[in-house]
Amino acid sequence: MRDLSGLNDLQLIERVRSGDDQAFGVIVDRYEEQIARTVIGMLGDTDGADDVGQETFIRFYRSIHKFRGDSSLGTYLTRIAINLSLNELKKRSRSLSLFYRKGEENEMYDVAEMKSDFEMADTKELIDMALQKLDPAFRAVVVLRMIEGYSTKETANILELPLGTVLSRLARAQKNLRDILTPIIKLK
Amino acid sequence: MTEKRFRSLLERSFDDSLTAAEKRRLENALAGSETLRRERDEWLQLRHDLARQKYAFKDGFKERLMARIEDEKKPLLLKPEFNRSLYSVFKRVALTGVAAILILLLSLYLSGESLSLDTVTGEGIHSDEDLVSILLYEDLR
Repeated sequence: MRDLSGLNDLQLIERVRSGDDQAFGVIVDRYEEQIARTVIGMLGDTDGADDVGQETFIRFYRSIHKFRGDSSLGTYLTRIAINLSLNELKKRSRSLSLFYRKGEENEMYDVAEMKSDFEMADTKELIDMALQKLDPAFRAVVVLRMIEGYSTKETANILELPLGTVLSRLARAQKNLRDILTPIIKLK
Repeated sequence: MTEKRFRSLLERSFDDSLTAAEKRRLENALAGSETLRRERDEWLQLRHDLARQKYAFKDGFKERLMARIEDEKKPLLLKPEFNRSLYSVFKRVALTGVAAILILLLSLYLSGESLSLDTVTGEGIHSDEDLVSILLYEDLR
């Protein structure tokens, strides 16, 4: 096994293009954690998250010849991951709507009903649960900005949204997270 | 300063993207309001907690992924699932064809009480006389 960990992303991509799968393995090592943060932040720690993570790298592998390097590889992969996660959430909400009448989905995730779960949870789980209560559009902004650490401008760029929309969604998300977490933290 | 304006300035301050005037406005707002300071502290705490979250895929993520990548590279005809579906489609088409031929032979046998080559190919069903009558019929039209 050759040690390719010293190569930069573009050098690795060139090697993958010429058929070197070991180089692709190095890319996976390098970005697996980042993609896990994005996908699990969006979908929660579910089997679906693992599938979306796999699909993110597979999509990149299939279209590797299209990567021009305009954005960093991390940003490129994150963009694929966030879009696939949003699609997965749409799919989930469609299948939920087959079983629940409009409005009932929200009742299922009513914070009051989840209090006992919250009482059992540690801080990490608490934050995860609160995150999963956010509307996907707000959650995407929070995940990119606050978990991945992208700037507001980069977040806007990845989500293809105006900067003002990102800022207002962050403000709304902050308020929602506070509304969800405050009563539970007091309860604990 | 409106709440919306304050939040926008606060968020951008984390990116260090405020102008000197904006920075001064934010500092003044924070200095003059206990509520805004508390809000900033809460937001900072939440940012800190979220940034510390550890997420990881299930064990063996990379191995499963590389196996799929390996599978992607196989030519379509070598993929076992493709061969299996091709075989099953072929079997269905072949069985339907055999059944149709058997039904045809049976109907020929029932109508002609023979399965000679002439019967199967249709030879001998029409006599010359029949052909003449067909031609005559065509002339009459």
